[in-house]
Amino acid sequence: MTGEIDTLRISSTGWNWIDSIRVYDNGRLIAKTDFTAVEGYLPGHSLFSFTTADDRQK
Amino acid sequence: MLGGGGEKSAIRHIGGALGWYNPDDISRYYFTTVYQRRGSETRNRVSLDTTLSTRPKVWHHVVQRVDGQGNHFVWHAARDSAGRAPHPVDTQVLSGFEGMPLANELARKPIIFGYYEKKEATGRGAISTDEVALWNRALSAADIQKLFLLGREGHGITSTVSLEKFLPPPGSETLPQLRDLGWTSAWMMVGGRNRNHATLQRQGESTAEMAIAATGPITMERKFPRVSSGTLKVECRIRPRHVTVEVNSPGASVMKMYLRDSRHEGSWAMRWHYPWAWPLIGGNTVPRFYVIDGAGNKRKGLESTDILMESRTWYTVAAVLSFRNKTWEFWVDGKQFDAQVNLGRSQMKW
Repeated sequence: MTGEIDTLRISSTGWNWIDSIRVYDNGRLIAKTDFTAVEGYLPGHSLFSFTTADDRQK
Repeated sequence: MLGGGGEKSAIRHIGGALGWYNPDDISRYYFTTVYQRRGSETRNRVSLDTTLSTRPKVWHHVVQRVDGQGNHFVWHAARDSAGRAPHPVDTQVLSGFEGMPLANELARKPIIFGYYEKKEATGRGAISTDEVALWNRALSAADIQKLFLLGREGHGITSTVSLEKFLPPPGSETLPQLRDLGWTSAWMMVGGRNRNHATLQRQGESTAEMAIAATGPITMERKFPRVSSGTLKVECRIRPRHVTVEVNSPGASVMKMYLRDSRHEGSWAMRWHYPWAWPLIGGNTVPRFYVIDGAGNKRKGLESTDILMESRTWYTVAAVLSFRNKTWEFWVDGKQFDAQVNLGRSQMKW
């Protein structure tokens, strides 16, 4: 183990709901998703349809 | 209220509004809301400062929405944008929000639509407006989409024309960019065959606006800013649909969470999953932990907790990794599971 972590992986089978995800570094919120329209999510779309600003610049 | 930051104003009004506008320059906009704080007679005037991706001489559709909880949104889309836009571009929560009669504010100041303010440096500042309207309720996302589509096709806001022919073919639309906090990548599908096994669905069984419905085998991954010291906590709000102790039950809800360093393949720091408990250890449906070293070898951490997972129940689960001690904790609904107390053995290091 390298002692550094930067990736979250979620694997699901059957049926599960995921409503929010939060990542804290020493108690400080560094990443979060509530799956809201304000965050850019739209209902009815695959999670993998969405891009970030960085993706579009690549 | 839509106005320009001391340079240009476009549309001014008191509550929420919708309209098309056509600027002759790009500027920064302030969406102002006047409201009363609960228990106070004082008027609050707050601005939502945002930059719209406007282009001169292009009609843009803007909606300012303030709902009953004081959530202040701005939605925006260009007329020539593809797909089902608009999308929200900014938001803030108005503390102690309480609405007040429109007539009261109108008595103080008139509503001004299509406000012109000269921009000194360029001489610009003109703006055209069309189809401006006010609602006495917070429009839903579907309402806003419908109004955008009607307007884009040249129909008035009260038109009853069917929207079907305006919608783009599935898969051809441009979705808004994600702007959720802090992530350094979009969501990536790294396992599974059907990307629609992770779709966004509204409410229903969700506790909030939307949730991922993971309806079949799928593995998703996302990156966040690298953490290398102190503690790392990852928290998820999850809801299994069907928890069972039947090993390999085809309908069983199973979820696994992993944390790793993306620069080193196989460097899993942690994995937990629910359910399933082997009947040998009591038949409970419990989360289980594994700790996996950088060489891909799996070392068992806490074999299981005695936390009973139930179907169709929301849980807030969190894993906390300590980089200093190389230990980890498991939390459920804000309470740490104490393996020493509950199971008579301490948790493994990672």
